Amino acid sequence: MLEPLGKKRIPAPLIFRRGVLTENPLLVTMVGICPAVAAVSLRVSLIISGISWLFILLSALAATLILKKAARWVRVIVYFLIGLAVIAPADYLLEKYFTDIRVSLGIYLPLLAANSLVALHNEKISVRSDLRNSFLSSFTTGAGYSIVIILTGFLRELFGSGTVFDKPVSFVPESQALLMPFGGFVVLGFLAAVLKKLLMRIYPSTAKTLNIDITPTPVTIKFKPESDTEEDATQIETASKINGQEVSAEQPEEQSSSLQKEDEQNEAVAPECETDGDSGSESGQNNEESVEGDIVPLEEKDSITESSETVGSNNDSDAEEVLEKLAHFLDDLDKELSAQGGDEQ
Amino acid sequence: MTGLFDMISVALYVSFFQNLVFSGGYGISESMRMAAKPRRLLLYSLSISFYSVVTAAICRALDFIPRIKETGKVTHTVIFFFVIVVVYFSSAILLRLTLGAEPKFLSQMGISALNTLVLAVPFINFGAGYSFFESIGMALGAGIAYFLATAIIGIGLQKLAENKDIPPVFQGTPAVFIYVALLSLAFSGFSGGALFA
Repeated sequence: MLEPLGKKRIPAPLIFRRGVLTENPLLVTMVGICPAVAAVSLRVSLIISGISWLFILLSALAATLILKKAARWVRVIVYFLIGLAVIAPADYLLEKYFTDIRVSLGIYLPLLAANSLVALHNEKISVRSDLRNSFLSSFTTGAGYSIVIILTGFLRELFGSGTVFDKPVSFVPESQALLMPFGGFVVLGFLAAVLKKLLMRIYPSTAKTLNIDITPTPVTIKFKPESDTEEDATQIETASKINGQEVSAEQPEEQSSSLQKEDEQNEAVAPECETDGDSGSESGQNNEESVEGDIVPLEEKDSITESSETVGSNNDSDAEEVLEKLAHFLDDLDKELSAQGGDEQ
Repeated sequence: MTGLFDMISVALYVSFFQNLVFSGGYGISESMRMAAKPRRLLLYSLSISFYSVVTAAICRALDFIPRIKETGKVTHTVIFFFVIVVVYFSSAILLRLTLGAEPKFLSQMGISALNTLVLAVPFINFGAGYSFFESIGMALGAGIAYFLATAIIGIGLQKLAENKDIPPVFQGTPAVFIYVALLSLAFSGFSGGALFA
């Protein structure tokens, strides 16, 4: 998800497909969810989506045109301040002329400035792309985001309050639950399912991007074998969960480093699972060097998706292989220990 | 003593009863992404707590100045934004100069400082008219709430990944959204939310 576009000329329809469908920020990448929770009516959702769209566009333009050379931790502040520059006037105008809508928005209006979508999109795409790609990408990402927010607001108003644009609709059953944050998440869940169904039909190769890749969390376990000498005490540094199976046993450095490499490889092919700060770099100039593994031409994206799927699907066989190796190693260790015991006796 | 009790009770309330992440959706994106890769969860939660507490304390303290207290919502919004930016910027400079913190680390701190959860705290404190100690409690509770929410979502993600009975269309993000929705419903139940009128 959110593959960098680089400076190659990429067809606009392809960028549109990515921003709205295959890499939809809310339903696929799962960023910027907080404002969706606030979208309890069509009117509110239109305002949220309009402001968000403007914010995404302006910050992306700023990131591409003037922030490429700034340090990443400074850029994050600038995005935040651009958000303030967009939201403060909107807040003032709403407060003055549309008080009821301002009340409905509550504290979610200023929170739009801290939308995680902006930082993620700009860091992954805008600072690494030329102006054309950055603009198109931010425009389509904003569109994808806004469409989902508007749909969420519409459905929640219709089935939560039984109205559309405050006009009563008599034939639908109302449930106040949809007006709670619970309702926002449920609607997003069903919209994500609809999108997945659509992608499975139209672009089957990209449908799997809606699956969550869970990175195994390394756990360090140390134990001391039954040996008197400290030299023989071996530390076990490998215990990883692979597809839910916990593997923990003693193994030599080579194997542990190979597992680490495997883990790194998994991260490289699935950068979308990283937390926002994972692939940072000091400056825009260094970006392309420091995140070499992340930058992939769009044409190769499908093959990468496939390779990431392959990595995922091979986990079972990898786990078996590792288990086998560990079993062999333990056998050898057993033999060595028993031989040492025999010598001492 | 009363202040301390207020602080603890608010912290417990916003983390365990009306969890800010589930009941308001504040910081939910970061929480869901972190849940898939929770290696830095503790550090991230501590960072959120730190920035929330410092920001909440400064914002509340500024409200003791009559001229600031009298200003409207929009001015308060601008003040809260600038306080967060100044707190983050000074902490980043301090960490860079004294401990030689790497830019990558600083940008991670930035993500934890400039997110919806940290920003929501001074607004909630202002809206609810919390006292100084209650504001600190709210800020502490935000960090705890984030940690708790991420841990629960993380456990859920593991279970969802293992569950083969989920229909293919709902596997992945749809299932995660529904799972978070149910957790949100559960937490709103603690604070007296009703499903039907």
